[in-house]
Order: sequence, then C-alpha cells, then structure tokens
Amino acid sequence: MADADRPWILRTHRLRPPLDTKRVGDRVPPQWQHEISAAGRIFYCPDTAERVVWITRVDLGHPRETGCSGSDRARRRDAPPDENDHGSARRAARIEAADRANPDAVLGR
Amino acid sequence: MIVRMKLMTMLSANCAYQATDLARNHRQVVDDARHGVAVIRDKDGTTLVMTTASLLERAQEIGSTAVALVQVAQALAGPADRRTTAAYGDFAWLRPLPEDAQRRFLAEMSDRLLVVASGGRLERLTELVGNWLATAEAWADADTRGALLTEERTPKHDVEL
Repeated sequence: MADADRPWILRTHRLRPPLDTKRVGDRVPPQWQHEISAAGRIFYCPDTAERVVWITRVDLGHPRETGCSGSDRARRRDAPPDENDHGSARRAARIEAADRANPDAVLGR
Repeated sequence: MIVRMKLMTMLSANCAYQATDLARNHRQVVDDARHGVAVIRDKDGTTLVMTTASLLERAQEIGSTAVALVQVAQALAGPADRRTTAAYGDFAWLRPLPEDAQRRFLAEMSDRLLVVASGGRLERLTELVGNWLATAEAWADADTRGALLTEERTPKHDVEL
C-alpha cells in the first residue's frame, strides 16, 4: 500500500536519539510521535511484546490567539479538568477514534 | 551523482528525435518520455530532454538533499561555539539537538541517501527527515524534552481498553 493511501503514516514519526526510547518500569519501548493537528502532538511508546501503549505526553497546541503559551499550559496541567471544556473532550474522542481505525500506526508498524 | 550518471547513460542510449518529430511522431516521443527520457535535438544542436515529472522531481530531491547534507557536514566540521543557525542551511532545525545527535543525523541521512539514489523509494528519505524533524522539535521544547526523557518507574495511569 502506498503512503499516499495511508495519510496517518506521514504524520507518524519514530523519534531518533536521544528521544528514541523511554524507560517505563523495567521496559524500554521505542518512542513515537503522532501529529494530531498543525501544532498538536501526541507522544507514545508502543510495547509490542506486552501489547501496551504508554502515552507519554499530549500537547494539543492551543492557538496563540488564546494567549495560552506552552508554559501556561504546563502550569495548568495539574489543574482539575474543566467540565465545560467540550472542545478538549471532542478532540480526545477524535484521537481515540482515529487510533481505533489505525491500530498499526499506534503500534508503530 | 549516481542519478546524473544514469541519466547520461540514458541520454546516450536513446535515439535522438528532431524537433519536428514533436508534430510528426509525437506519440512515439511521448511514449519514450514516459518510459525514461526522450532526447530531442533542436535545429541549432541544443539537446533537450522530455521525461516524467516524477523522475525529474526525484533527481532534484536527491541532488538538493546531497547539497544540504554537505552544508551540514561543513557546519559540523567547525567548532560548535562558532556555528550559526544559517550554517546548517535547509536543516537549520538541527541546531537545538546535541552534537552527537547531529552527527548521527548526518550519518543516517548519508546512508539513506545512497540507498535512495541507488534505486530506493524517495519516501524513505522523507520518512527519515520527518523522524529527525519531530525529534528536534520535541527536543527544542524544554517541557516536552523533560517529559520524554523522564524515566517512569511507576506509570501514572494504567487504562485498560
């Protein structure tokens, strides 16, 4: 199958050293990144032997017009979730749906 | 270089059409172009080549990548504290990466370029550039870098789907 028929492949990248792997417990799975939007990134480590995917970081990349910079987001990470933030919930649902549709990309195959 | 040599071989192997063949034998000229190159000699002796856009794009991509890698090699040959971002040329985004990662990029890209130039798929080059670009982008952001380098002794969340 050509890459043009698998557009998610072009947005999925295997990170190179020194970010190519991540230690999770006693395992060292490879680290991948998927571009979920122009600025949104999801980083994950597929452990194919255990059939587990560790999500290591999700950055939804707020537009700059909101005045929310990267450091603002970092400060807000520990804040309780906003129940009225339906946009985030929809985005998360879309990511989940895309991953279900393309399990191979999530598992880095 | 390899592509250029192949092109020269094809130029010498194919018969040359006259400019008037574009009107009289256009089907044959176009078919030759579709299968590689069609060489056309103009009345003043100028040699023209008709080929597929994909072949031309491939040759241009391989050539420009080779030049860009030479530029990176030259940047890495100098002392790190005197390097400017501009010295990296098309691969200026490499600058934030550690020195050993930059050298690894150069080695991997050179290997991949040789494979692609010898007949491999061009997408394999794009794929490797994409992987390194994603790495450099993640490394340049302190928050992301910290999160990706942290060892997770006890995973924070364990969700079974």
